Amino acid sequence: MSASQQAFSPPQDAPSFDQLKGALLDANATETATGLANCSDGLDDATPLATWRVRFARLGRVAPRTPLARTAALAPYAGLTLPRYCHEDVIARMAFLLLLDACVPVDQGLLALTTLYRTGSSREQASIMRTLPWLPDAQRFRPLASEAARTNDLEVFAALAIANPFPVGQMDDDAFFQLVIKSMFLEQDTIEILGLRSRITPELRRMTADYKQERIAAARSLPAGVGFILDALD
Amino acid sequence: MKLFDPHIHMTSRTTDDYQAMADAGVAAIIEPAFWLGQPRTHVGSFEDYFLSLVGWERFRASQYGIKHYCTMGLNPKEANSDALAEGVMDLLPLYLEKEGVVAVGEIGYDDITKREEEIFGRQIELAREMNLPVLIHTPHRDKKRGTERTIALIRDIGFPEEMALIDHNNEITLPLVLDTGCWAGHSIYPNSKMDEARMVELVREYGAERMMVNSAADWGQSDALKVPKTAQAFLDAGFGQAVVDRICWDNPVRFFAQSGRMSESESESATIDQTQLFEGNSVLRGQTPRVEE
Repeated sequence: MSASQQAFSPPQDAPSFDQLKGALLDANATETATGLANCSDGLDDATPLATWRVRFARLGRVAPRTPLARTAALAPYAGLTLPRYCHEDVIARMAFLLLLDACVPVDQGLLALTTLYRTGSSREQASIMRTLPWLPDAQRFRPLASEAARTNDLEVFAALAIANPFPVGQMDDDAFFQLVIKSMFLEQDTIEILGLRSRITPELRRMTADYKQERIAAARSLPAGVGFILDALD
Repeated sequence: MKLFDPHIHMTSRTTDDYQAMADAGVAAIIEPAFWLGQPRTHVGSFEDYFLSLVGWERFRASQYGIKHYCTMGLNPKEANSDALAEGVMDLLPLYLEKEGVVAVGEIGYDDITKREEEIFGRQIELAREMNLPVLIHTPHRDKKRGTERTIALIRDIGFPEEMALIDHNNEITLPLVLDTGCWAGHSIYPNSKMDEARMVELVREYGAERMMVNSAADWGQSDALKVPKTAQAFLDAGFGQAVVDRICWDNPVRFFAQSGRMSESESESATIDQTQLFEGNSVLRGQTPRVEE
């Protein structure tokens, strides 16, 4: 059964830095785990944000974009084992970001992650999006998610939208509906938006029906998400 | 055949495009201020971009005999940037006064957020104060509702409809726009938005009044020759030269001349003099300069 067709339950436990590092070791990504440890070495609540940003960039050079060989350690966390994102670099960056958020004051978390996001590569931005739902008080990061939702970078958009607990758990209807329509517009797997079925309303149906009308007028095919939304029973 | 492309982002195109456009009969263009393909992070990035639209880009076009005009505005996507929006709004009164600026644009909705609406409304008000037309981008998603809300906003503010060009129309939004006094733009793309064949059918159904076509060519896969190609499609469909002249020259000139900064005679081809420099820079790289008498 597709992720979006299951009744959505918010994630109960977030992974920790040590758990994610352990997942890397479990998958024999030893060099990446070592690189993560080196990039995180000495970082604490007194570390300036500029230093965190440099180390985050450095992590990208020691954590390759290699699929994780084993993912059993990540199974409890919805979306982390998705083949598209279950790569050494994403998991390493997630661990780093969890550490960063734990070290900065709670009211500085948004600024810290936004700073890394705005000067980040696509892959770094995508990793930040995959991390958002696992941060404490995740609603703090709604402005950053809204900013990311406006991207035209497919990697970043999909990282936010697809099999990610954040949108269904944190976005209001306006933002969530725009995300859904945009996923169809960008030819992403709309049906894999977590919790989509639970968020279908008459307004989302109206937006989808209008989009369907435009596609038909342009003699273009209909994405699978159109039928999923319009055919969903109340 | 003399042609006008009223919406093209030449900052992202090469001189090969300018030469091809000139060869195909494009004599004048409008380059709207827009985003760069990724979000800007400083107000200064906007200012440098604005300066290039009235500076280097205008010069570059002239070197191929094309009159370059532009619009200035805060685009809908970046209107959502709380850190930058006010700084950019502060720049606009200055840059809207520059030579070659003929409208406020491109403005409008992207995700149809409250912030976008606020910035959109303020820019329409600014256009009204400065007696300038507006060039409006309709959203790619939820386009029908975005168009409806655009029309509602224009009416709420009391902006003269004949000074509003609502762009990127399709079969669904065009009748909504033509029911008002606004002008209707259509962006002809290789694989998305509108294409030549569909445009022919729209003109067949709705006529040439207040209709324009553009290439909206930018950094993505787009075609700077879509206006000449659409003009040819009109001729191939049997519409006649008068229809082509109306849609591909007279209508854009008439609309943007409402700014008081463009006239029919001004928008005819620029005289080419490739010995000219802009701030010491030439478009040439060793070629023999072309100079027209």
